[in-house]
Amino acid sequence: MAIDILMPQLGLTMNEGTITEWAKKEGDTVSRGDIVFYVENDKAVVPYEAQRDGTLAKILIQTGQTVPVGTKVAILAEKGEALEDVVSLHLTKESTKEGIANEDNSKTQVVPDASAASSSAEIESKAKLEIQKTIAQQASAIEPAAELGGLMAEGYIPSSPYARTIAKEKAIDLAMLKGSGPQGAIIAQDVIAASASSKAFATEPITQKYEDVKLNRIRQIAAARLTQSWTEIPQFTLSIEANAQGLIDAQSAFKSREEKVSITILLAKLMASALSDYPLLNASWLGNGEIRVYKHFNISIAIDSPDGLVVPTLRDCGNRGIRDLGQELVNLAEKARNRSLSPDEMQDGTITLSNLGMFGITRFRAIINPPQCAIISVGAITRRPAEGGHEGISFVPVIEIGLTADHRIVDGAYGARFLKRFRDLIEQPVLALG
Amino acid sequence: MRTISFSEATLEAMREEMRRDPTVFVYGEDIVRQGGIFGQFKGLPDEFGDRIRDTPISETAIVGAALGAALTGTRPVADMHFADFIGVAFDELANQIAKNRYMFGGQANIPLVIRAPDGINNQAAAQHSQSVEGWIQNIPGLIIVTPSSPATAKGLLKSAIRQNDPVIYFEHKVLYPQKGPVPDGEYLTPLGKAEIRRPGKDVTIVAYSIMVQKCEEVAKQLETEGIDVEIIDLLTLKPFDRKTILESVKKTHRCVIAHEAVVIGGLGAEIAATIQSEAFYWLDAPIERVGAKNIPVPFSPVLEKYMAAQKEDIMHAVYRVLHKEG
Repeated sequence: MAIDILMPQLGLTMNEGTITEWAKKEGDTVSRGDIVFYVENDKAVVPYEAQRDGTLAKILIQTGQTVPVGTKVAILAEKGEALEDVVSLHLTKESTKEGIANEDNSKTQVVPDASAASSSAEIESKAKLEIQKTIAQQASAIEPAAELGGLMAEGYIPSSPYARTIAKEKAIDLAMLKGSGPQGAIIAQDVIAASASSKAFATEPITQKYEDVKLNRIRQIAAARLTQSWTEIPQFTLSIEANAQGLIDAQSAFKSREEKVSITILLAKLMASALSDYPLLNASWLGNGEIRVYKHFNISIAIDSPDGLVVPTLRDCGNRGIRDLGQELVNLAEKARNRSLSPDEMQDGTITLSNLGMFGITRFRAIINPPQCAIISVGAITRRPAEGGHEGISFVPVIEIGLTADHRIVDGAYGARFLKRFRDLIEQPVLALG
Repeated sequence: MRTISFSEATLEAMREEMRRDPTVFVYGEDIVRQGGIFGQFKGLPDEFGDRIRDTPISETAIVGAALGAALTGTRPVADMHFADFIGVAFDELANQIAKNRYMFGGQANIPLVIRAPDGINNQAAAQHSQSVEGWIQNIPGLIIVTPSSPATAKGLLKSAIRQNDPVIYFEHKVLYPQKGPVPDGEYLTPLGKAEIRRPGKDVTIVAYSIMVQKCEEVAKQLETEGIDVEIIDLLTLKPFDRKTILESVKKTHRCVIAHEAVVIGGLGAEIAATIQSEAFYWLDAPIERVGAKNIPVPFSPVLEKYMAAQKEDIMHAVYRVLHKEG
């Protein structure tokens, strides 16, 4: 805040003073105690010392001018304030103020003392002014003007004690509130208002309306099958990380021939290859002490359709080529979107592949799709730090493969060996030829 | 219940206590011949003879003799004529009366009352208009009371006379002719107990003496604006009724203290300090004090009004504690 420098009252009888000399000029830096100007009253010439540090922004009363005590003679800008802002702000505010001051001044001249008064109202206002001056002078003589600016520490939330008390009771964070009290202080009504609105929010669930929704057929079947899976099959999950560079390179090789091959198809093909060494995962539980081991690798592909999860079957992945499989998957996905998959197309799966990588999921535990023995869960390819490279560390593309399997049919070690084989094929697809 | 004036109420108190206890006697300047300058002793000489006496114009002698009389086992009531004059007897009051019980092992009771008419009334100027409880409150050993109505004038005066410690009884000059309801028969207004003149929920105003009725008028006005003011009439200024004040402030969360005396160093400061230390976490606004400006009471009626707190000042203080104005 800029500071107004006023004509001081030097002694009880001084009503006005004349500035005889400005010791500082506009733009000068002023330190507390510096002589700013000299003022003459009817007794003496007295230096006026600055009460604060700052910069003399504007001189309002020139040398030789006589003004009443209390008249603004100059404006002092505090550190960091732009002089022109201070001056323009104060001059606009001042226009009315100065008018009043002048009026008073003229009254003083017209009515030099009470005995010559023409109006008692003038005497009254003059006398009240004197009382104000005397009181102000007494006060300022004893205590220096408090500087409010520096008192508000950064991060402090001005708030009334009672506001703090009830905020604590109601567990309301004062920092979340906007104060409506003086200088933006938070007062009790702000806390009470906030509490009322949060209460309304808190009670909403009690009165919340609901709707009973009939599940579609797909959802109902899925629910039944998944409940059966979760409650009847003792299933375990393993996961392994694989360097996905081989997959990416393979995809690039097709791409360079203008052929589009998805990671899912590459994985389905490699999965079939790995399964040929671990046939018990391509099986189903029959009960009665028997399982059925399938000769074809019919991989159910999990697809997100408008009606929810559907798992059309990609048949005989072991014997068919990548282009062929890729084309079929495109067709199945299209049908899934159009809800036009036939029951045939969703039958005879022997194992499921679920890829949530497109959603950024890196790892998940899938639930077996009965009566199958296993489900493979695939996450997104992410770049992760690994040992190697010139600096001893390099970033490599990594894909995480999970296996959830029926423990009645296979053990953890069997699943682990399969996953290791699958990882090797992912990292070096060429091994699938062997 | 009868309707009598404040003066008559104090007269009743004197009469009842003097009849009840032959050791009670009254003396002061111009109280026999004149009946007191506000008529507050009229008729007593007829009934009680030399138990009511005029004295020379010497507050030193009046107050000093009161101590001696009290020490010998009587119950003197000394009149100060104007509260302003109490300063003449300040040593007797502050250094003798207040300290006697403490310095001499409590060998004797000091059952004396000093009646001190105070307050601004019709241009009595700087030396006959003051409220000087602030001078007295800093003296340990003195009880200070001040009534606000005929009923409390009678009840407090009777309690003061029966008290075994010195009591300063300030009575506001403006109140003397005012009439109000006074209970029939014997009653006492207990010392140290404030009364709630008007229950309210929004703001507590602590006031005493003439200020109570000004605050009641302000409260009526504020009621039309939907502001519900609670007014506490202190009655005993020292020791004041902390419990009533604190309970009220804990209910309203806002407090204005109004007295006619100068704000600086006034009773309001002491009450505000008590509230902030004992009910700080119940306050929703800074405590406001309303009182006189820091100058002697001027002779000019215009300036007298300007110097003293008016109803508008109380009203604005209420607005400020309600954050309705800065």
